[in-house]
Order: sequence, then structure tokens, then C-alpha cells
Amino acid sequence: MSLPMIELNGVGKSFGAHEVLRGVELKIAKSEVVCLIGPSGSGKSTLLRCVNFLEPYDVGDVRIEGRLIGYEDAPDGTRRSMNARKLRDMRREIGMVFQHFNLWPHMTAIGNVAEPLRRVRGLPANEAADRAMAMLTRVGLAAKAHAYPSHLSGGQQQRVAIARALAMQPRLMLFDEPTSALDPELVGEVLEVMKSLASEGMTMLIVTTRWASPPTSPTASPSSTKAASSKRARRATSSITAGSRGCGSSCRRIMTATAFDGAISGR
Amino acid sequence: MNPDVLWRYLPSLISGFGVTIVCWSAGGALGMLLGFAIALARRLPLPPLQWALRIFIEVFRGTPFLMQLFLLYSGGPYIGLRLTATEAGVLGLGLYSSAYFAEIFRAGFASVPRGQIEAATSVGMAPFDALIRVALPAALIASVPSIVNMLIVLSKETVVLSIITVPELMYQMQTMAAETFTAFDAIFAMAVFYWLLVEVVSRIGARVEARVTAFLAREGAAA
Repeated sequence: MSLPMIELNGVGKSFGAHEVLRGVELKIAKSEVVCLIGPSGSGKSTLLRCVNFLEPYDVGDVRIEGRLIGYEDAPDGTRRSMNARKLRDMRREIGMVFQHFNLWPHMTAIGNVAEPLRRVRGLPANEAADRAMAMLTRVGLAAKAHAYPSHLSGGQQQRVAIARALAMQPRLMLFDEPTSALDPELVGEVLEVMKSLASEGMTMLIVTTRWASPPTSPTASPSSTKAASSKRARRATSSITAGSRGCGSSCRRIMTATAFDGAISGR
Repeated sequence: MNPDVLWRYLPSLISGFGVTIVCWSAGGALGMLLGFAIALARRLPLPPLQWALRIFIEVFRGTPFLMQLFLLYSGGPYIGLRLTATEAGVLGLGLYSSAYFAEIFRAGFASVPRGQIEAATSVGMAPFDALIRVALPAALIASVPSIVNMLIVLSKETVVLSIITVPELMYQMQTMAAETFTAFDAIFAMAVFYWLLVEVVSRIGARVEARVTAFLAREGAAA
């Protein structure tokens, strides 16, 4: 049997007195695509950020292919922080895409993608540039390789960010509300890239407040869209749902935020 | 106005201007280096070091430069620090401006969005690489206008060096005024020299700023 790509056992996290996560259990197999859906403030992003230890969790285990991230457990049961180098080695296997893209503004698109290849993978400049170009081609942005982020649309910036994460050849990808900061007409191009990744078997954990793919046509009436999405959101908080319902065909399993929502509401 | 007197004293004024430029650029460079080192050191999690740097900045920002310079030049020998007037002047300018530069760079680092550092962390970049490749360029770019501003202020602080007999422009101007009783002409000539210097510095500063922020200019791209 193979180990789950991501496994969370009894994960808890508090910011001061504010408990955000409590007893979170989650298992994601290789090549599975999982969406975390829930209202803002329910701890979805915090949970996602615990997976690559960008946010240190307080209790429980987060394992990537069986390996605990962020901590090292001694045989006598004590736990200490993971060696920084080992943590970096684990992180480079985990791609992450942020809501606000977080491209480095002083580097061109190709510079953004090549930089981690050079600093982290230690590739020589020309090899890094070649691989970066291949990645930009893959997300359909070869023509914009030498543009700075401020000269790109939001959708293009997010695709560069995906290329930057993919270039590291990660074993799984984390998406933190990847389309929330985008104008509606730009969401499609990012979703296309994500769908193609999913179809290639990438393991993906996606945090989103959007229950369904947003309307592809910007002419859709805003009031009806809003009503529909709020109805779906209510449905989302009522149960943990399995199946492809609502999240588009590439989303094979849907989890709601209720498991950790309970931590706040006191359930 | 007496053109003859001005003409006669022009060589000494020009030499004073030269000394001013040397002291200003050496002091400014020293201040920037020291200030940058302080800004970096303030990111280290060592409380005693933090207090010491905090006190250093408060003292040098909170007291008059005139007093600092006088103490350094006249009080220095009591602690074994024997400096020529020009050395004391440059060191004084450097220490004084380093306190300001340290705050400029600190603000520059603080202006780098956390997400950009998180992006570096998430791809497994070491903190040093993230600092050098991501935080530093962004921080320096954000600091450019304040740096230019501080250099302009500093160029005029150099007049204080005249009280410890550094033969800079103010000193030469005072000599000329005292020897020829042409106070107005001398001050006027001095003003022209300083204005010239500030004008050049601010123009270069504007060029540098335009250059380093060129990539931030939007070309009408949709958000």
C-alpha cells in the first residue's frame, strides 16, 4: 500500500486565545484533487499553510508521504523543531500558489520562475532559464517571459506563479484561493491551467470560497450570481461532501470547512 | 557686489567646495554603510544588541550634530581618539547620518510585502537567499527617495564642519568675509555653490529613482 500524499492527524492551531483549528483529520491520496470550501475566517487557509509549515501548527501531525513536517519526534515522545535545512528540503517538494500571486516585482516573469531553480535547485543560469521558459510555455505565457509582473494581468501573474511552483517539480501543489483576487473574466485561464495539472495526476489541495466555477461570461447578472453562490455556500457548511458535485469535473473530492469550523463555533 | 574680491577669493572658495564634496560624499557613504549594517543587525533576535542599537539611533538622532562633532573632535583625544579636523568631520557626518540611514533602510525592509518572503520560503529558499534576492532589492528600491533626501540634508550639514576648522566652503566663506568685510558677497557665493550641489544631487537622484522603478510602471495592463 502507498502512503497518503498528505495526512493530517489531530491537527490544532491557535492564534493566542483564538483557536482556529482543532482535531483536524484529513487524508489525501496521490493524484487526488481536494477542495477546501468554507466561509472566510473558518481556518481553511491556515490549514493549507500548515501543510507546508508556513504556519506552524501547535498539536497533531501533518505528514507528507508519511514524513512529519516541521517537527522531529524523539523516541521518548518529546518534540522539537525540525532542522531548518530539512524543512527547506521538504518545502521544495510542495508547490504553493497564493491568492495575491506574490511574484517578485523586480524580476521578469522568466526571472521569477528561474530564481528558485538557481537558488534552491542550484541549476546553472542557462539551464534554469531553459526550464523556466518551458514552464512558461506550458502555462501559455512564453510571449510574456520578459515582462515584469506589473505589466501582466492578474490572470497572467497567477499563471506565472503556478509556473514558478511547477518548475520546482513538486510532488503536490497547494492553492490558496488562487482565483479570488482575479476579475471574473480572468478566472477561466487560471482554472484551465489547474484542470490540466489535475488531469496529469498532480496531487492538489485547493482552498476556495467559490463553490462552483464562476460564470465564464462577465455578462451574468451580479445579483443572481450572488444569490446562487450564497445558497451553495450554506449547503457547503452543512456536511462533508464527497463527490464531484459543484466543484467542476476536476475536483474529485470536496471537503467543507466544518471539521475545523467547529473549533470557532465551539461545537 | 564686488567682483574683484570674489575673483580673488574664487580659488579658495572652489577648494572649499572640493573639501565640502569630499567630506559629504565620504561621510554619506560611511553613514549609508553603517546605517545599512545597523538595519540588518536590527533584524537579529538578540535583545541586548537591539537595545544598544536603539540607544545609538536615539542619541545620534536626538542631539545636535554641532554638539556631536565638537565632542568627537575635542573630546576624542581623552579616549585616545586623535583625529585631524577632516577625519573627525567625516566620521562625525558618518555617525550622525547612519542613525537616519538605519531608519530609512529599516522602513525599506518593513515595506516589503510579507507574501513575497513567503513565496521564497514556500519554494524552499534559504533565509539568506530570500534576504539577498527578494527582500534586499525591494527594500533598496523603496528607500531611494529617502536616501536622496537624506543626502541633500547631509550636504548642508557639512557647514557645521567649519567650527572644527575643516577648510570646507563655509570656512573659506567666513575667512573671505572676515578678511574683506564682504559678508553679503561671501554668503551669496556660498549659496550658489550649495544650490548647485543640491541641484545636481536631486537630478541624479530622480534619474536613479526612475531607473530602478522602471519595472513598476504600468503599461495599461488590465488588473
